[in-house]
Parts: sequence; structure tokens; C-alpha cells
Amino acid sequence: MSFLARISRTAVAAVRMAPAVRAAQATQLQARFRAVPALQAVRFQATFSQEDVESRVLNILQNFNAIENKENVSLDAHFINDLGLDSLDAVEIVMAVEDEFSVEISDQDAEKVLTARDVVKLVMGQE
Amino acid sequence: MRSQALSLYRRMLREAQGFVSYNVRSYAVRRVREGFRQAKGEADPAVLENMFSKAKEDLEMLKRQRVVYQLYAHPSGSMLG
Repeated sequence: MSFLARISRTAVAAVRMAPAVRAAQATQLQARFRAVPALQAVRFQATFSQEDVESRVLNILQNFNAIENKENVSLDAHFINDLGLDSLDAVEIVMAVEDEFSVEISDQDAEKVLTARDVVKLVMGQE
Repeated sequence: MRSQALSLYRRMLREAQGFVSYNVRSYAVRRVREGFRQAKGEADPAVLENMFSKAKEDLEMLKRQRVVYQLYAHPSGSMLG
């Protein structure tokens, strides 16, 4: 019998019992729950290699419409000075990166991002 | 002020991207982008103050509308489908 089925059967039985018996059953039930190891949230995190992250970040930049001169795209190209973007575009890049790697980047970190290399560092640091 | 605006931009874009319907989603994203681009370079503190309170109201509106659209979404995802 599966664990769940056993628990629900015990629970149904406990409801039908007289109060005194029900109390005893309840403590028994509690003990049984305590015996079960605590369920822990397990985070599955993909591991990225440095080169993988770099190429995927550069790919995001290549596909970013607001960048006119795609040949200027490189790891150290400055978003605002070299790629002709503004701070709003930088926010959009950070959001695209968040979606790409399923990570969350805080507002404070997002503001400091000025080059693709900064982005890569943030993503690698998230692991 | 600047970082407040950027944070608001991000939150509004995220909210706009969450609409189920393609048409509404595209419009919301485009409208948020346009609104912030228009406001770019504004220096008058009084005008900025106004814009911020308007944008915050709009963010709340986006949140509400997203829920409403989700509640009445067509099962196939599109009225045409």
C-alpha cells in the first residue's frame, strides 16, 4: 500500500472512532508523520560552463534589435558607449538573460551591468 | 530616481510579458517600452513625480488586467484557433 493511501485510510478511521480512541489514534498519526523524514525543497540547478554562458550571452546581444552594428558585439563592448544602447535597453538585456538561464538578477546587480562580461560574471556567480 | 525608474521599467515589462493573449501581450509590452522611451531625458522634478505616480498606477492596472484576461482566456489560447 502506498504511503499516501495508508495515511488517508488511517485518517478516515480516526474520524469514525470514539473521541478517546480518536485522541490515541491522533497521537499515533502524529508520531507516524514525525517518523517521515522532512520533505526538503530540492533545487535542480543546471551547471553552465564559462564558454557556454559567454556564447549564449553574445547570442542574446546578436539577436537584440536595438543594436545597430552587430559587428561591434563582443564580451567587452560597452552597452552604452560602444553599442549605442541606453539604460532601458540594458534592463531588457538583463531580462533576456534571466529568461535564457532561468536565473534572477537583482535590481542592484542589474544596474551595474555595462558589458557582456559583467553579465557572464553575474550568471556564473548565481550558481 | 534613475534606479527607481529602471526598477519600475523592469517590473512593468515583466508584468506585460505575462499576458496570455498574444495581441494584448504585444500591445502591453510595446506600450510600456514607448512610455518609458518618451519619458527619457525628462529633468523637471515635478513632471517626473507625476510620471512616477502615473506609472505606479499603470503597474497596478497591468496586474489587475493580467488576472482578468487570464480568467476569461479562450480555452484554445486564441479566438481564431
